Amino acid sequence: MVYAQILINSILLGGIYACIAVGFSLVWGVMNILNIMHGTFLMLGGYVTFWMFKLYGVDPFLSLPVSAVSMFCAGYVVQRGLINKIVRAPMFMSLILTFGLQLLVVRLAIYFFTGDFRSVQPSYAGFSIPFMGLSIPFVRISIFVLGVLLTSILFWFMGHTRTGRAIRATRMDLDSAQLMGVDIGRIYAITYGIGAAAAATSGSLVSVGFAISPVSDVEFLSKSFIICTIGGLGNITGALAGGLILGLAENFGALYLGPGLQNAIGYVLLILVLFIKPSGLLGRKGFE
Amino acid sequence: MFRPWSHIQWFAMGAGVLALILLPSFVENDEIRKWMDILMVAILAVSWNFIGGLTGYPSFASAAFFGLGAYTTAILMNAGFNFFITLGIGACLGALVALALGVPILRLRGHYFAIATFGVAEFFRELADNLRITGGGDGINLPQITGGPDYFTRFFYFSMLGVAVLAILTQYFVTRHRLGYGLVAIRENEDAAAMTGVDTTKYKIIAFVLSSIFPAMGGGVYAYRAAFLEPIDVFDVLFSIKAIVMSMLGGVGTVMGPLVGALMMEYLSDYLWGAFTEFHSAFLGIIIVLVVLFIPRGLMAVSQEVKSRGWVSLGVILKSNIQRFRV
Repeated sequence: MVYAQILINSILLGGIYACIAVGFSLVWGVMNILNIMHGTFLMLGGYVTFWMFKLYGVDPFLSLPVSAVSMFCAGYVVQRGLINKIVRAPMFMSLILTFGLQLLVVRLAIYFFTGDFRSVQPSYAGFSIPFMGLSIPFVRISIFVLGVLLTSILFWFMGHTRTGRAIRATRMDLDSAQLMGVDIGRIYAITYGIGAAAAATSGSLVSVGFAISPVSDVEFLSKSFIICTIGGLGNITGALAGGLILGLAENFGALYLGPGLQNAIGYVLLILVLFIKPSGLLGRKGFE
Repeated sequence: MFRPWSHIQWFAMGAGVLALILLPSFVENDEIRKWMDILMVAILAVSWNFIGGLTGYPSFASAAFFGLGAYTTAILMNAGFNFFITLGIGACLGALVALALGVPILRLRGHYFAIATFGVAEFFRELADNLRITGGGDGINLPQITGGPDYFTRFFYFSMLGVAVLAILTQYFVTRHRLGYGLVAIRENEDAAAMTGVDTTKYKIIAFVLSSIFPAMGGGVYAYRAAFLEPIDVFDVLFSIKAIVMSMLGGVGTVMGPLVGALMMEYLSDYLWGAFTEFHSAFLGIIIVLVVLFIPRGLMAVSQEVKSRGWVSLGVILKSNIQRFRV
């Protein structure tokens, strides 16, 4: 019974992990940018939800669009105004640039929001659904469903809209895409904006089921590292598989090794996967 | 590309070291402490240059080795070892860990390498947080140094200076040696380097080991000076970031660049926003953004261009830097 409960918890956790990593994977895959700002957008999205709930009493699930749209705009501006200027430089430059922005934004966030951990506590926070003798927290399952839904919408968008196809074309062959009339600067900015919006929505979800603080962005960033590396870049199944594997490994690791080493397990997994199959378990060649 | 230093350059280097040796005789303890911090960051920057600057592998493991050295000193000094012996053991341990990790990690390229090194540092932090020998999250105390503040400020200053000079000299000799040319060849084109007979695996591992030794020693000095260690203090990713940014500010892949960068950054930041300690990391962030956008090849490169084209063209140089890589 304990195992079944842990399994359920792992799957629910894995779903939200996958949602966290999707935007990161997109930006990395399309522009070859290791986006250190990812955790920061996630944190800011969480704060949008938190403040809207705290100040205006807006239900956290209703503030998702606000958080997504605001962070899309922020991401668009960051890419257009800063990262586009150096995006063709050695990949390491964009990494450091986003690191600089991350330091700045996180420091300001600590100043304005304080470093306290916050969590949105709607009236239904304590509900759980009994299911065959197991208990499934209502908030967690909603987060899971929403996360998977939003991820699916994103991938539908990538495959079936003009912009989505332009993004994929840019990823496959930058020069050819440019020759076909794709405005690379704009597509890059949109891609980065989508990555930021995806991060922000997952941040909003996280702020309900878990807790956020300006300093927790690195934690989510390293989760994204791990998930993308385990699952591999380039497809939705990679992010889902990576998220599930990490969720399972963390929960069962905490059971056997104690909760203190829960985070260390992810890093061990990361280094193992890099050692065995650097392109990730489900990664496709050419999508590194 | 790396010419041996002329007599004048050696003389300047000697004069610089001499000035640093004489410095404590002329200034207050506060000022000595400031220079100690500069030297510490310079050690990190110069060491990062072996793997990141010369070889082109963006490592985030500086913090891992720094923390490793710090904890080695802490644990061994508590067991009664002499301070300098613990520095040596820390350096050896750092080298061994770099060797063991280098074999799998250095097969990775680009972002995967960056992530792996980041993961190593974070893993060490988690480990230090949970092991009993490191005192866990509560931290660990070191024996207090005896003697007055004048004495121990100088003691730590000269220890740091020793490690820094060692790191810079090693850097100089590596860049004038076959090894340095091999590393640069790997940075420019690894496959071509392998084709022309550079044993890329061996060279990369040597560079990684070199980049681990000096941070480990610097960490040891830091630990004894701080007298108390917490995992989050020493396995701080900011150490890695600072090392990288200062190398970039000075000029990646040059011998003096990291040193110049560390000096400029620490000294300027102290004057410009020493009062806003709370916002130190925010200013660091702004500097990073400006450096990446406007002087990605470092101050040394800019100063050379200014020398050949005159100060008037400074604006043009900065503008051409920002337009070089845009889409």
